[in-house]
Amino acid sequence: MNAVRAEANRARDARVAEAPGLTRAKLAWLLATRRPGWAVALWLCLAGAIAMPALLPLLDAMAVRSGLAQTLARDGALTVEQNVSDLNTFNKFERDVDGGVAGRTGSALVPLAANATVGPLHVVTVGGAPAGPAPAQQALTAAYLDHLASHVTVDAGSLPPDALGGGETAVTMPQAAADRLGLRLSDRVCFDFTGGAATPRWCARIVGFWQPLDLKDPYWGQPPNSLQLTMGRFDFFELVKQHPPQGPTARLRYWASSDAIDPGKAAVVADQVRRLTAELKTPDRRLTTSLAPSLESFHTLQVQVSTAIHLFAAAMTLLGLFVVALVGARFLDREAHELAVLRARGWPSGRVWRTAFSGLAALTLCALPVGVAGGLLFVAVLSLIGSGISPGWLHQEDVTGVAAAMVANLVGLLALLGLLAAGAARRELDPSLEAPFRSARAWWRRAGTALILGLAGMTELALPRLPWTSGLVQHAPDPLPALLGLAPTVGLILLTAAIVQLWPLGWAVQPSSVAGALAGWQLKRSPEQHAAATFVMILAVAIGVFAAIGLGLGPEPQVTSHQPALGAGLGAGLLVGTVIALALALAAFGLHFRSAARRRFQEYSGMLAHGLAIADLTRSVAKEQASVTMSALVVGSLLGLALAVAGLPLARPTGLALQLAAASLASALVCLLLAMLIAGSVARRLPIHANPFDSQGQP
Amino acid sequence: MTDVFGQPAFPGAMPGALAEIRELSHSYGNGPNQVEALRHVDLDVLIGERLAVMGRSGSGKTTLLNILAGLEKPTSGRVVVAGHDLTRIGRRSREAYRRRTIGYVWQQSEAGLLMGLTALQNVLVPMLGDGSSQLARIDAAVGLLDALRLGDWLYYTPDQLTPAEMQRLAVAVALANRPNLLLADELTARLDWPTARELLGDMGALLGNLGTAAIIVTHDPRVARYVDRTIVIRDGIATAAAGELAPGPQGRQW
Repeated sequence: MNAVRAEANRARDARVAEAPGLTRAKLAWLLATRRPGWAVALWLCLAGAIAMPALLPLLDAMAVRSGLAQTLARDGALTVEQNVSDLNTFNKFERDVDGGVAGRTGSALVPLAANATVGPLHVVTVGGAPAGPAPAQQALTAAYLDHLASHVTVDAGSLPPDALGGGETAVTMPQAAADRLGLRLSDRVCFDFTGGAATPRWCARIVGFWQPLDLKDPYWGQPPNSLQLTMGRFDFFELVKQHPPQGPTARLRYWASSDAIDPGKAAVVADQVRRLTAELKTPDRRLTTSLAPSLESFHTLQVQVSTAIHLFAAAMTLLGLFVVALVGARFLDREAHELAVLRARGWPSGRVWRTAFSGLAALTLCALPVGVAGGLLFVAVLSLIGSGISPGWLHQEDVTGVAAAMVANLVGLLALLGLLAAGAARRELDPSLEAPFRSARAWWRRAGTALILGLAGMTELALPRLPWTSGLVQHAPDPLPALLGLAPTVGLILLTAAIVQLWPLGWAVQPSSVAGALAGWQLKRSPEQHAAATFVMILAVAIGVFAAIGLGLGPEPQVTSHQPALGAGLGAGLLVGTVIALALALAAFGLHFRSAARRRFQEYSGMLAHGLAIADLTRSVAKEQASVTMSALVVGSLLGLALAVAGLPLARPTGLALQLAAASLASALVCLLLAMLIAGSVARRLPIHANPFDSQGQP
Repeated sequence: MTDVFGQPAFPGAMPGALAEIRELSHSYGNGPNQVEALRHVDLDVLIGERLAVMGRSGSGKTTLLNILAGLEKPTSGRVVVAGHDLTRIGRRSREAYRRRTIGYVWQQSEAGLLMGLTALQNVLVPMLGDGSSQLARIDAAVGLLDALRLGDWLYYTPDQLTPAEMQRLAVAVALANRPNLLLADELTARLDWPTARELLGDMGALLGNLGTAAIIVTHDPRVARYVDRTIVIRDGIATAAAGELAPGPQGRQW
């Protein structure tokens, strides 16, 4: 008997040891992933909501940096030329100009090249013998090029340091020139300035042949003269003592450094360059640069593009938050029973909140790498397709700023989910203990709220176009201009909220059929039940319309043709932002109506048993969807138009541009309508054979 | 003597009340729509006692159970259970009361179960945060499920169980924290009598082992054979069933 009991105890001990335990964290995860479809939907919405606010500023930073780099690569040079008679004059010229440039522009302009040239020279003898016809008939230039060694590759011989060529003058020349003249290494060559002179004035030994590392190197300014003799500074001015017919010309070249120029302060640098050119200009100096007008042009477009993208990013961030709020609320609706069971078992509401929130936070943290990876993938694709935008131009502060925006958004999302979880943690298991179903508020209360929200919204929307705002933006301290630029987004949100307060969703529903009667009754009984979905869809349509108009009527093509990166950045930002915004909004729309269809199914279970056709129930949900869809398209289009006028750098529209914008807008609206119809159709689908009385057989 | 938890059993039926209900009244609604669900109910429940509450639908049985469960606050009167005055209890104390003092079995047992979790996990949930080790919690949960003949269904989710097994699981979950008082609403309503009798027998043994009192709301007079006494609620007024003011001579059959 004892043996049997001992055996039973051993078996039980083994079962206990094998049994997987349960912790609060595991419980939270089990509850959050109990409905995998909803968990995946929320996870994807979170990934989108996390990625968007970081991706658009990153895109803006890349486009602006790349645009600046393109501008400077094209027009970044400042060249100062002056005739110099000797080494001292050259040195003084160099010191004066260097000091002026550094004093006026700081590190924005960096010395790129200092050189001096004189010529033409003609070869008289080679190795003591008269030169053949090839060298004798060619005119050469003698040049001193500082830091030559950093910009060439030596094919033969060497580049001797200044004045250390040995007992005689040492010169080097491009390999191509030597080949053309038939000169070889170590040849002693004598020259004369006039050509054909019997007695050469100046002799030198060729000690090296080289060729440029990169012909596009701004060091050269223009393609290097292939027939050029290069030598050290001392030797060059020894040659000058031979009194060439044309005096030597010294040339100092400066280059605007994209690393040292803050794109947001390009206009300041342009102003500095203008002042500098005025200061450096003397009768014997020649200045060549188009830097200042290029920087001003860049600055104008950059401000327009950055304002539009930041406005768009702010709208996207808020849309992401609203979508997560809507989908998270529906997700927690599905989890409400489990949480209420925990409450009924005596779990403190704080512990229930932690359980609900832990599950949501875990989904958020799982969404983070997906959002980051999606953003990086987009950036990689954008730089690989030859848009002119490259992440290589990004500075550390750009990445830090974007990371900070992402962290702030993540914190905002977690706070929002925490609030939703707090609401869900208070729900009771017994429905009779919950607050009664919310009925519609009195019309005058809604009208009052709508009036306040509407007035505030219109003011915010119009703020950037008010005459006194531009002066304020120019003189206000740093964060204020950026905040003023985002005012239209806040205006859009407030106006949307105002309209949703009053918009009669039931206007499109005809109660002539069973489905119409059911839908009409639902919208009359609780007009606020679709308010959140309508709000999100209006916002999404407005964003889509804003982007469509931006793509059609954006900055003038001739401006963007000089700044391809900025044009590409604006286009890519609007396009990808719109796609993600619509994907997020459609997900929210679909999930909201999936949840609504389930509620209807449970609510009408008795009527289904007494002959109400599932098709009629589905059609009634379709009518509610149609009401939301039409409202979103009408109101969202108007608000998107208003946002575009308020925040986009709209060019003076030509006929073609207007046609483009109209086509872009029409295709966006058609795509939206189709997408909403498809998402709605999938969302409201109910299983035809489901038993409404079987709690396990619910759709 | 040790119970299914492998610990000394809670003291059995002892003189002295576990629950004292005095002048309890409860009404729903206001004005002309006011409905009095309970009127001046006086009732004592002794430690370890089993009590059946009978009455017609709408007579106030479930209201009494909800008040004892701390789910509803009485309109007037006094309700004290294991030292907790439910008429004055605060939110935190009520949560602790629900967690430690009572166990509740809903009429539809699935209402109190977490469908995504296994039977074992369902029993472990109430134990989370009770300060014991994970192994001790698993040991206790397996012991409870064994005692309710669910030892072979540890890893089944509630929707994979029969209604009777689901009801047994609901009882196991309600008893997971060794409560002083088990409240069961129509425990056997969805079961045929042989199955219900088997459940009542197993639950009775477990309650005796734990020293837990029980109040079972039922329509079925046969359940009365498994309790110490029965009260009947008519129009919100509780009266003792004939001949059952105290444990009858036959006593309960547990």
